[in-house]
Amino acid sequence: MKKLTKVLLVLAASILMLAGCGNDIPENKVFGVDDLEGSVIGVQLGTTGDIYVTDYEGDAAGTVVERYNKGTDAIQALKQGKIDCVLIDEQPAIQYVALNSGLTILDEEFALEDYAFAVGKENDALLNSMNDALEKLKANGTLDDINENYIGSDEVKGTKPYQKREVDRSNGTIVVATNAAFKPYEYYENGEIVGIDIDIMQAICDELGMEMVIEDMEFDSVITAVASGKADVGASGLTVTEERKKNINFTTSYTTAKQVIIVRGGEEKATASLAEKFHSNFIEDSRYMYLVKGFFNTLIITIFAVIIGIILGFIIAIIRTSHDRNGGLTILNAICKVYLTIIRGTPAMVQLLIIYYVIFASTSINKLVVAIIAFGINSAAYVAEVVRSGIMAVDQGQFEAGRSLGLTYNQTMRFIILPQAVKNILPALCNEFISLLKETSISGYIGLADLTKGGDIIRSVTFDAFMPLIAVAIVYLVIVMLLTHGMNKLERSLRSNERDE
Amino acid sequence: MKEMSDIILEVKDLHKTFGKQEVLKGINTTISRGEVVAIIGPSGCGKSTFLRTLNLLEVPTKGQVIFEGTDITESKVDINQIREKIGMVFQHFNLFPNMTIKENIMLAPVQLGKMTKEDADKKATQLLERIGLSDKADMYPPMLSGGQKQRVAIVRSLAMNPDIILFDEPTSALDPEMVGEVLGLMKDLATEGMTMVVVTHEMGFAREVANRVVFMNDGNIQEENKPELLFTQPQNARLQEFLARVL
Repeated sequence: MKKLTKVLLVLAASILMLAGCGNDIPENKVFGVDDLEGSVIGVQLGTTGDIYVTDYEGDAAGTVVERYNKGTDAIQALKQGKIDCVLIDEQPAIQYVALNSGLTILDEEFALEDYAFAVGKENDALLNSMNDALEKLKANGTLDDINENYIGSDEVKGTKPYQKREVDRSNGTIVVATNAAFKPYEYYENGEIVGIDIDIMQAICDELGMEMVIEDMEFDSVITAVASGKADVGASGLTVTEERKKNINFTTSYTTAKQVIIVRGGEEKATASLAEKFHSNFIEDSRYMYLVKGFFNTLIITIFAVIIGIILGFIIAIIRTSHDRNGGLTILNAICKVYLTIIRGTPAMVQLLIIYYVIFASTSINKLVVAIIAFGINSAAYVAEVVRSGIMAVDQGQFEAGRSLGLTYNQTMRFIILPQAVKNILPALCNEFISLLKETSISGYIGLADLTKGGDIIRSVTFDAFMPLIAVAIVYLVIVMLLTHGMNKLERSLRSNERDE
Repeated sequence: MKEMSDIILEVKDLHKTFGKQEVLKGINTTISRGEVVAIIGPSGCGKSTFLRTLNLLEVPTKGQVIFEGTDITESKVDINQIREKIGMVFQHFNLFPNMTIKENIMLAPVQLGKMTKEDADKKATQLLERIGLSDKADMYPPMLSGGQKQRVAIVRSLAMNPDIILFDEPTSALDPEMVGEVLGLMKDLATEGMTMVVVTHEMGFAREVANRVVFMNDGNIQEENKPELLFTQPQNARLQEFLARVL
């Protein structure tokens, strides 16, 4: 464990040095909508801002569009001078500017737009009842109250929280897809997803006598989730556009919003000290719990995926080698080959998304289970090839000696070949599990709160990239080093009772 | 002439082809109970392949191998049951490195239900005592010398009480000073009446221990005879040439 401490110290020192570098940030050159031409514009992937600026992209003036998964990421890039401006919805923009030093919103707004909830094409009954409920909430002032509670003047802000009503909820459940990184419409607070959209949806559910279940996912997945039936409603500050209407229906609009441009400039606020940053990233609102919960989810996914990977991988390897040695099992072998080709020929992230949005599209299945299945199936392909090479590496004479004693193929495999193969492939298997552990960091793409996603959630509320990311990296590093340490020990104890020939 | 019941193994018109190359070209021979047959010949003549077809480690392309009255090349024959009665000893010993010496010997009798664990343990202990390696019982194969490994390999096949043992160049991978201990054990087995087929380069052993020496060349048996006759009055020209080089 001395080694671990040393590595961490060196890592921390080098990061602190690196973090200070690169302060050479260019002057702002965007002062109005006209200046967008020829600049580098940051947007959040799949937002209306993204759709608007696509018209500028590749024009004669050389406009460049950078698309980010989160608004926070775009803001970070703007602060670091990687882009010239960020085009984003007004309310999140106000939050970003309030929480970040040296950013300002241009007075000239870019566009006005309507927000509405997305409902599946086939689901007219829900659409109609939601519209009726919205009508009622507008009439009785509930919508205004919710809006004012989040974005009203300073006197009314926070004074009118929507209270979930005590009603009979026997009319079913509404699954609401959202991307909880869009303050004040939807964001995390004390481990809960809150915001204007969420409160309005709760009010609608109260009206309809239904339960609400929130599914957090990437923004560009929200429409897909609704269209594929994974979710009933998309509530994520969705602007009504013609393009989106092709895949889903919109309710009547519940609010009007503006697209604004954020640029560098404005007053410099005093930069927070490391201790203050640490406090806001981890201590405030017990934000470290996002990492703790994420850590356990990452562990659960990895452990169960490893178990599936080992069992399935061994079965495939045995089918393949048995086919190579004895012939037979032709169909099974062909299936295995197709499986190996597909799994090893496509990225794990694409597999995860396909399993979640295509294969389990209509069933409401626990995301942890989806991730475990996806990573287990993925890992099995690599384990299978590792095991197969391990079996092949055992001297053919071992096999002949077993068979010539009268042992069956299966007995020879079980007692003689596999024990030797396992010992040979232990280091390779360990490597596979380490990469699997790191690979699970893409679980956030299906909205699963793993360790990486935990860091992302903190980033989306504190707008600090440095600390959450480093904390996440350190946790991964520590797990990997512990794993490696344990595996080395196991290997040594296996070797100690037999020296190599 | 021998009586039929004395014949343990009969080979009829045995062919084996690897790809386009015909390695065995129609071998016919019989082996009687208690006989020690040495197979000699230049390398590449097919003698090891021939030996390996006798327990179907190599499946013949054509022809019959009749062991104790059963044609083992027929697909309905349970080859595992046949192999229980045919021991085999390899050039490279092929002890199982993941098991102790004693476990190596006990594995097949126990797993195949021939003996209880206790009986197999007793038998393994006896066999190890016989070859003077009782003190190595709980060691792993890599800690033994080549000669010790090959003697363990021989008693491992003995533990199954086989009717015949096939030896595939059992001393070729040994340092010269270890050849003697292995040949000594084989000689003891021969004296006790074990039926043995031995592919070997040890002409001394062939002459001294074998009842019959078979000379193979070019995928076939060219000449077979009692050792004293075969070595002193070779008829076949290739055999004369071969003996001139190895003796």
